[in-house]
This record gives sequence, structure tokens and C-alpha cells, in this order.
Amino acid sequence: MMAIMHYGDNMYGPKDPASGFDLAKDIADRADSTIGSLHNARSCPAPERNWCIAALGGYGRQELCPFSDLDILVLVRPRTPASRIEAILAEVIYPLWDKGLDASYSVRTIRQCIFDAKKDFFLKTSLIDARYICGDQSLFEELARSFQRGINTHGLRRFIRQHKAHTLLRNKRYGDCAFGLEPDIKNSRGGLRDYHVMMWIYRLSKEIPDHRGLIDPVDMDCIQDAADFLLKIRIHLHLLTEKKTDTLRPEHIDRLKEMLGFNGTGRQDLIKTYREKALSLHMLCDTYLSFIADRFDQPFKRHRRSKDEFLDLTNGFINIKKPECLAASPLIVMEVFMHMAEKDLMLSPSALSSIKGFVSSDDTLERSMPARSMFLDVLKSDHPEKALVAMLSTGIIEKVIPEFSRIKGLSIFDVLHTHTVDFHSIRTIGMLRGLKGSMHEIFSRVKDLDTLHLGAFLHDIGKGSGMNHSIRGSQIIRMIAPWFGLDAERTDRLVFLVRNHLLLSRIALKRDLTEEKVIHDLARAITDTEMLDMLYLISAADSMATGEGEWNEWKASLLKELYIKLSHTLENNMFKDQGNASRLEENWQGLIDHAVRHTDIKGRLWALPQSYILSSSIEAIKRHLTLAALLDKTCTVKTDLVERKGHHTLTVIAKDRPGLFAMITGVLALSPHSTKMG
Amino acid sequence: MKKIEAIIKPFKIDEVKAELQNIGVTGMTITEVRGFGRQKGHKEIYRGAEYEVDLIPKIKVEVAVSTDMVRDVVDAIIRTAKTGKIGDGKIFITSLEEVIRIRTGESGNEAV
Repeated sequence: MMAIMHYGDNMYGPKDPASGFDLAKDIADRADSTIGSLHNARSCPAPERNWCIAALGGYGRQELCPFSDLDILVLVRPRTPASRIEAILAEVIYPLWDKGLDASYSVRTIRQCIFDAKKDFFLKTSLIDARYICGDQSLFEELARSFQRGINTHGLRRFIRQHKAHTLLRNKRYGDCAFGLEPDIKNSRGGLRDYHVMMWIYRLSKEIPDHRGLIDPVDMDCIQDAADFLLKIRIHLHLLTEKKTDTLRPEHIDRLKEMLGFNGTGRQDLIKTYREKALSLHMLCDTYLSFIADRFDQPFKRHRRSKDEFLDLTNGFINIKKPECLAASPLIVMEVFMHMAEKDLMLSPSALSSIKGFVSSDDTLERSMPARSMFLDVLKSDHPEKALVAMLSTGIIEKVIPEFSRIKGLSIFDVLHTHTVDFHSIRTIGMLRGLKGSMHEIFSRVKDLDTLHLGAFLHDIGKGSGMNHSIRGSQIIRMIAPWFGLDAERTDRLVFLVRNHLLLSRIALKRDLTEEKVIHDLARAITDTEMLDMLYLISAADSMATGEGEWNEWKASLLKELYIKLSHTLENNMFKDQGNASRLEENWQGLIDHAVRHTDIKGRLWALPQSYILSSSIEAIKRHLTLAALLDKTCTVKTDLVERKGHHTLTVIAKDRPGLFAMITGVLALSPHSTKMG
Repeated sequence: MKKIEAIIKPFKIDEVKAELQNIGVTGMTITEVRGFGRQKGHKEIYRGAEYEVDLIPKIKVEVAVSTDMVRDVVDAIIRTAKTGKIGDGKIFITSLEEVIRIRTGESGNEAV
């Protein structure tokens, strides 16, 4: 497959400042001139009155990438003889293939175009972008007029509805551009396809007087700007890989930076810029598509007058009645997001616009405690994810938590993660909300919901710092916690949560859970059941939010086993009594010292139950261990009898076998002495 | 050539993997599996109610080796995976009819 043009062709150089659209137009011009020259070189130069060649789709829009395919329409009048058509194809179209260009064509009359477009959604969209290349121009203009006649409100409504359906399918298949680690520049959400949809709707709506103001020109500019950047990346990606590559992968990034003249250190600025633009495109397209689709679906909905003075919450969308009031009452913005999160509403395009305008000029939110408290309410709400994405894209999250900008758009390339860290944090909150239902019992026991949700949202805030992210994260959290009104004790707990958010997963996978000491040491560190519950919920939510394969039944059952064992231990409160904890430490230390000198008993130490260590003297334990070492095939039982204060303590040491305990108790029951067993 | 399949406790995988590499095994396949043996899982008491765990998480390690390595591999696995407690797992040995390396087309002992 040949490129329409090559890197190094005289029009290009590295660090070319030209916009993506300019570059794309160049490529389209080259294709035009190729076709033009073929047309001029035809053997039969009779004036054409019955046919013309038009560019469709991306080619028609003059937005081509080096390895894009050329979508061509050969428009003919009815009853054009087949031999004529054959000649046109042979002289103008087939040679394109010989040149190695990826040209696809169709031969249609005007009537056929209109008729087929009614049934074929993709044909319809490609016709919107039709552009004359060569041949009978008046024929092309006839087509344009016919097409225009077909544009009316009804048609537009149907078009939008079809688009919504197709977009949903596409999103399922291709994932996120703004947040995915290997985004498909064309098809991902927030990618070029979204931009195309917006363009089509914009263009169609301009033909219908009633709908001229459908898309705000300022927002359209924003969309164009983002699309320009994405297009530029796509063009250079094609050049770089020398084929039609639309998926941006980590290995492309360094070379792309060179080609595009990104001077920053590290790969992150190209990526960060890319994500910013993709996020902004994603947000605008999502908001507009929903809003427009809704408006067309139910144009006659009753408008409920909402009682709120500043906000209009009708039909599932939030509108800001008096945007000029935002500067004076900045908390209205936070209220907007709270409503979004509580009632699962969407922003209207104008609300989105107003908020973006407000954020760029405001500096009061950063210092506002009520704003932070409302942010916490969003985290704890029933539908947090959409609101959080909106807050991310408008820059509100960074106002409330300045440290969050460190992980905005941050990509961590490893086998496990499929999204950027900021989106992962938002997903974790989403998953946590899901656990409210599926792990209801545990969730309802947690009293300190603020700490839980802050921990879940900010658990990865230390990423990208170059050092262990749990440690770095806990340092950052220590600074942030007081801003949210957490006192010293709760701050300590939140710091512990972030510092140890990977602890349960790690132990569940890497340590022997049947070892009592493992469980006990961990329980001692975790100290209480509420902390355990919070760690467990965050571990599960984090794992679920990481990626498709990360959370499964297998991992879930290991984690649950650990949770149950820890739960038992903590509930038994062995460590609530400070005296117990320190005596246990002492006894262990004494035993370890002894073991250093008597290595034959060292192996047996770790298997001993904590309660035994706690309740027996070191001397007794040493004696028992020495006796146990003497057990072998011939000598299967040893006893140790101690007299003290008028009673005897008998310890039986034997290899385990079925019925052992019953046997011992039976023997003792037969004896004349009264016994108390332990 | 033989295929050796071992079901082991999850936390033992790092040790087993390292030891196998030590004795010269050059490739293996690891899968997360669940199952049970003669004990048929166990019962846990949680908040006063019995909670049955009948599908216990394990890890399956599969290696293909030449017949003369089988003894060493089995010993290595037992050495590292054993804890002496219930649930240590099992090793299955089957004969391999053929082994082929996709990239080069090598077969037989060269491919193992």
C-alpha cells in the first residue's frame, strides 16, 4: 500500500507548525491532482456531459491522512451506456490502484444516491461531505440540490437518533480516547469520529432555519481545535509507521515527539496535551449528543418549572439560569455537580460552557471549605462517575485538590492498567459505589465514610513521582486531609489507608494464609475492624477498576479468605488489651533468642499458636519444644508434669492422629483426679 | 518428552518458578485455577454462620521437559511447594506425543 505522500516530501519537515487540517488538505490536494491528471490524460477528450467524479467522506472533507483510503463517487446520468462507464473506470479509477492507492468507488445516478442513502446510514454521512473533483460540474450541483431538499427537521431527528445508536456501539468496541492507554485516534470515544458526528450535525442543522443555534460556535471552535491536534497526530502516526495506523501505542510516542517538536522532557507532555484535547472533545461531544438527541426525541416535553433559583433541572439536564451569578456565588458550580451525582443528570452544553468560563477566572474555590465538603458529597453519592468526569474536564477537581493535577492524564504503562491514573481513580469510586450493594454488610459497618471515599479516590495520588507510590501518596494525603476537615486522628487513619492500600492484595497472593502468625502480625498492624473493612473495600474497588482481567473469582476468594481470618482475629480482641500485646512480644523475643542457640527447634516456632505463646511461660515452652524434638517412630507420646501451688499441670505432646483428643480426654476422665482441660 | 502439571498453593508460585529456572527449565505456563481435593474445601465460621469454601484458589504450573529431566523437575516442585499442611497440591505427569516451536518449526527435544 502506497502512501499518498511521504515524510520528507518537500512540503513537510519535522516540527512543522502547520495545523492538522492544513496538512490533511495538502494530502487531499495531492490526491485531487493525481485524479485530475488521469482525467486529463484520457484518450477520449470529448466534453463530458453525463458524468462526474466526486470525493466522499474524509476525502470530500479534505481531511486525508497519508494512508487513508479514497472514497470516490462516479456520478452518472440515467441510461449512460455501460461501455462509457467502463471506459471512465478503466482510465481514471483503475490506474489509481495501479499507483498503489487505496481507492474505493461506486457508480450511481443521483436518484440512486438519494434512495440508497435513505437506507444506508454510512452512505448518507459520506454524501454530506461530497465534493466535486472533475467532470460535469452541473451534474454534481444537481446532486447537491437534491440532497439539500431532503434535509428537514424530521430527517435531522432521524439522523441524530441513528447516530446515537451507532455511537453507543462504537464506544463499546473501541473504548476511551481520553483515558485509554492505547487509544484508537479515529474510533475511540473522544476521537475523530466524535468530531465527525458533531460536524455533520452542525452542517445539517445550519440548513434548517429552526435549528441554526444547535451547536454554539464557541464550542465548535473548541471541537475544531481538539480535532486539529488529533488529526495532526494521526497523520504523523501514518508517516511514522508507513501504514494506516490509528492506534497510538507507547512505542510511537518518542518518535512522534521528535516529529512534532515537543520539547519537554519525558513523554508525558505529548500525552498530556493529547489527553487534554481528547477529554475536552469527549466531554463536548457527549454533552451535545445527549442534549440534542433528547431535544429531538421529545420536543413537546412539559417543562417543569424548578423551584431552584439558580438552576434549572428539567428533562434530565442541568441548566444554569443566570450564569453571570457564578462569579458572585461560586458554590453554585459545586451544587451543579452535586445534583448531577445525586440525581444522575447531565450537563447541558450551555452549563458546561458557563462552568468552563467560570473556572478560568475564579480563584475562590481553592480556598473554600464548603466546596470541599460538597466534593465529598459527590464522592459519596449514588452516581459519582459522570459528575467526576465532568469535574475533571472542567478543571474543578484541581481547584478542590490541587495535587490531583499530578495524576491528570498520567499513563502508567504496565500489563495491568488499561486507563490513565485519573480515570482509574474515578472508576474506583464508581466501583466502590457498586460495592455498597454487593458487599452491603461490610459497607454498612463503616462509619467514617469521608475517610473511606477520600482513600478510594486518592489512593494512587502518589503515582508518577518516581518513588513508591503508596509512600508518596500517604505523604501527600497527610497534607490534603485537613483541608477536608479531618482531625488528627482521622488524618492518621486516612494516611494509613493510602499507605497500605495494596497490603491485603499482596498478602492474600503472596503469603500462606494458614499460618497464624501471618494473620496475627497483619491484624496487629490493622488494629481495628473498621480499618479492615475500609482496606478490604478499597482493595476490591481498586482491583475491579484496574482492568478487565484483574478482578476475578479467583482473586476475590483469596482476598475474602484473608478478610475473614483477619476479621476473626480482630474481633477476638486479643490485642485490645495492651498488656497482652506486650507480653506476647516479650515471649516471642525470649523464644527467638533461645532458638538462636538451639537451632533444632527453630523450625517449629512459627507454627505455634499465639494464644499458647501468650499463656505459657518461656520455660514451659522450651521444655515442650525439647520434648517434641524427641518424638519419632518408636516414641510417639511425651508428657510433661509440673506441680505448682497444690495442683499439677500435665502437658501431652504427641503426633496428631484421628481421635487423639478423644483418647486423651477419655484416659483422663477415667482417672480418680479431678481435671480441668486446657 | 513429558508434560508435568502441578497444582500448588498460590503463594508458592514465586519459589517454585525460581527453583525450576534454577534447575534449567526454560519455559512454563501458569494459570489461576480453583478446585478441591479429599477434604472437599473447608468451612469457615463468619459472624456465627458457617460459610463454605468449596472451590479453593490454586495455581497450576505446566512445563514440558525431556524425559530425563522429569525426576529433577518433580523433586524441585515438591521441595519448594510443600508446606506439610492440607492443600499442598498434586503433580500429574503425562507423555507428550510431539512438541513444536512455532517460530522455527523445531520439534522434539529441541523444542522442549
